[in-house]
Amino acid sequence: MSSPIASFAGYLDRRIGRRADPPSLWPTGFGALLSHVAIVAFLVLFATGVLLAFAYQPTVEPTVYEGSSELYDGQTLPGAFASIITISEDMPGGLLLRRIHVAASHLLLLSLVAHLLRVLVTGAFRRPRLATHLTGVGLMLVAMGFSYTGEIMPFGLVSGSSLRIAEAVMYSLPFVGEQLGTLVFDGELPSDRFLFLSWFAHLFLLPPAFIALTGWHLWQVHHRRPALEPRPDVDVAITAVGRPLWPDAVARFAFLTAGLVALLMLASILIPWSDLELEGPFLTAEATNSVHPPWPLFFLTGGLRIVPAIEFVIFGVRITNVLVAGVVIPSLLVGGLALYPFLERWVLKDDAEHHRLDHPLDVPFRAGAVTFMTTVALVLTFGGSVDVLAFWLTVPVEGVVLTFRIMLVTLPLLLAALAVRASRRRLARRHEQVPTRRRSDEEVS
Amino acid sequence: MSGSLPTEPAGRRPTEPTGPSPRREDFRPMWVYGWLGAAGVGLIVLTVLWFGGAGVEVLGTVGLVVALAVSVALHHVVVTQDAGERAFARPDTSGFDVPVLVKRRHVVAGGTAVVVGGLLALFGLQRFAPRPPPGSDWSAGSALVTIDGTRLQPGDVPLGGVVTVWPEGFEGTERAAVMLLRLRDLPEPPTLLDGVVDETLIAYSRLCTHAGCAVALYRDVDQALFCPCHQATFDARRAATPTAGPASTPLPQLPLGLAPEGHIIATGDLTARPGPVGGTVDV
Repeated sequence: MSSPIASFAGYLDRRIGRRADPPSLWPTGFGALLSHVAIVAFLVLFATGVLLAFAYQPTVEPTVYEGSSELYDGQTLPGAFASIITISEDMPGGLLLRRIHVAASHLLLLSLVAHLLRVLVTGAFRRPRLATHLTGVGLMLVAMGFSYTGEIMPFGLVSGSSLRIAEAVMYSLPFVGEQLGTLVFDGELPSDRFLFLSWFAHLFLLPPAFIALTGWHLWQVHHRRPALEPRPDVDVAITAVGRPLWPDAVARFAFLTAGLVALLMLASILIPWSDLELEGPFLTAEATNSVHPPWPLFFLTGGLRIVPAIEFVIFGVRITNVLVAGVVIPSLLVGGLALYPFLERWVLKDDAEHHRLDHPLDVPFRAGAVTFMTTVALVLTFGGSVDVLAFWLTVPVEGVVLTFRIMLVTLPLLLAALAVRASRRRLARRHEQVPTRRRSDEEVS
Repeated sequence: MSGSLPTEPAGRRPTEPTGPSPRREDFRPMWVYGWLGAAGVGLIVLTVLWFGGAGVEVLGTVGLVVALAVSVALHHVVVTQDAGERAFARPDTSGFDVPVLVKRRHVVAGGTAVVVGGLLALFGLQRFAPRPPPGSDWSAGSALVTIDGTRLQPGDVPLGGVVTVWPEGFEGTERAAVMLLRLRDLPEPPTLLDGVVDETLIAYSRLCTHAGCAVALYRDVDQALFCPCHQATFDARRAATPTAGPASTPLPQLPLGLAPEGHIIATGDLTARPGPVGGTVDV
């Protein structure tokens, strides 16, 4: 296929293709799929976000909404919420744009979580890919920032609660917390400052950060090559597996993009994502049942719900539930995710370069550690919906909270022990199998 | 599976196919152009409907059809143009010519700068930035009013009723929001019993001492105040002491009294600063 696109792809390939291997190979395997889904989701978010940004107004100033929403016509609403209703009800295609934007945000976070989990369990983070892993964790944090600020921006009833909770987490910091909270939130609501900060971050700080980090991440992947899956047809001397950029890799990426756009369209018809009409605008000193942040932040609210009501002073620092659940546990989790490669390198005394992926049970220490971190994150995440669980199970919420407290302490250790055991047994089995196979080979020959 | 590829002892070699060879079909341009054309027509229809103000279901369905048509065309390209996965082997797997841009000394220097700058910023913040005021807008004699400024008589709050009130002149402010409750039973110590009016009319700050949400729910069965954000539960009869959930501090109580005209007033400020307990310890 010789066309302008083909020659452009060839030019790109020559410019940025790996110098060592002409013609360069572009990864198209499962690992590439997860990252390509994230890239497509981000492109969709960017395109819909730019269109939505023109109609959104980051202000809490009361404005009278006039439009085709029967529920809110003629009512005085915070400016931000009124602009969201205008987008949904009066702007052509606005509701579709909003729903696709929200659905794509779920897709982005899901693919990032899956990607990170795959990197952790397969040991893809080992030298020389430590820096790649760190930029990946950075991307995850930026995506969470998108989630949080995106939830604040509509200024609905739940946004107000989220905002207060973030303020409480800042207040809980020792020595500087109250000053920091006052600085960021500008005292009591209705204050424009935090809404403006969220809007500014969501539109002008986080997107450049995400694009820059993605660029850096992909540059690192490109130069260090993805670690390869252990396959019988790929022997140890092979350093790269993939497809030529044109037309194979480009066609696959384009096909994935079209397919995912179709999926997002379907999701937007079927699911009323972020339907704020019934939730209503922010009202001073009001809250509603089932207050939940976006799911990527469930682990934060889960911690705030599960960690017991503690309050004691040690060395002039007041330790509260909010400090433990809102600052200490998230820092440990994110720090653990980011620094786990360095921990493993130190514990296993393995400083060598690795270019092959492991089976998740190949290294007992890793199996245990990753299971531990994942279980903590999952218990906290499900703990974010104790109220919903209590409603479904028709049991008192106190009982559900107690169950989660017990699970938070026991389940990670228990499952980690099981993972280590399974990993050791797998290793033992493989050690037994190797001589057996050799013997049978000899018998055959 | 084709088995391990043989490796040459030295030198580079071109890429070789690996795995099963792909299913080759004939590339049919008319198939691709047909579906892309259909997608183009769909796109025009979508644009017309978009600016015609069609609903989300219609736009979504047309968009879905367009995306699916493009997918069908591209799937044909993917299937027919696939030359199969290829592998590249080099005898020497080490020695990646990876340019190391960030050196250890850069990390050390950057880290030191961040730590020193951060500590200086935190010191400045701790020293010079304002802290939230210790009290609230309540003072002795402030009348309790609803959001639209109506003063309240004891008879306005029915049994089990909860009314959100503000000090007169501060309606709708965040930290001064207080809820006025009519309990079923008489309050007990450690409640500030002097601050109770009409035997069972009692007022607490609306802001949760845990994370600052509005304690918006009242459970009449056990006369408990319930925060929907993190399920903190407070006993409304006993000074709003936390009974379950993550809160460790009671809700501040607002001492109530009656004005000569008969409406309810505050006889002082809230018993503590409303809202979440900060990490700073006052000495």
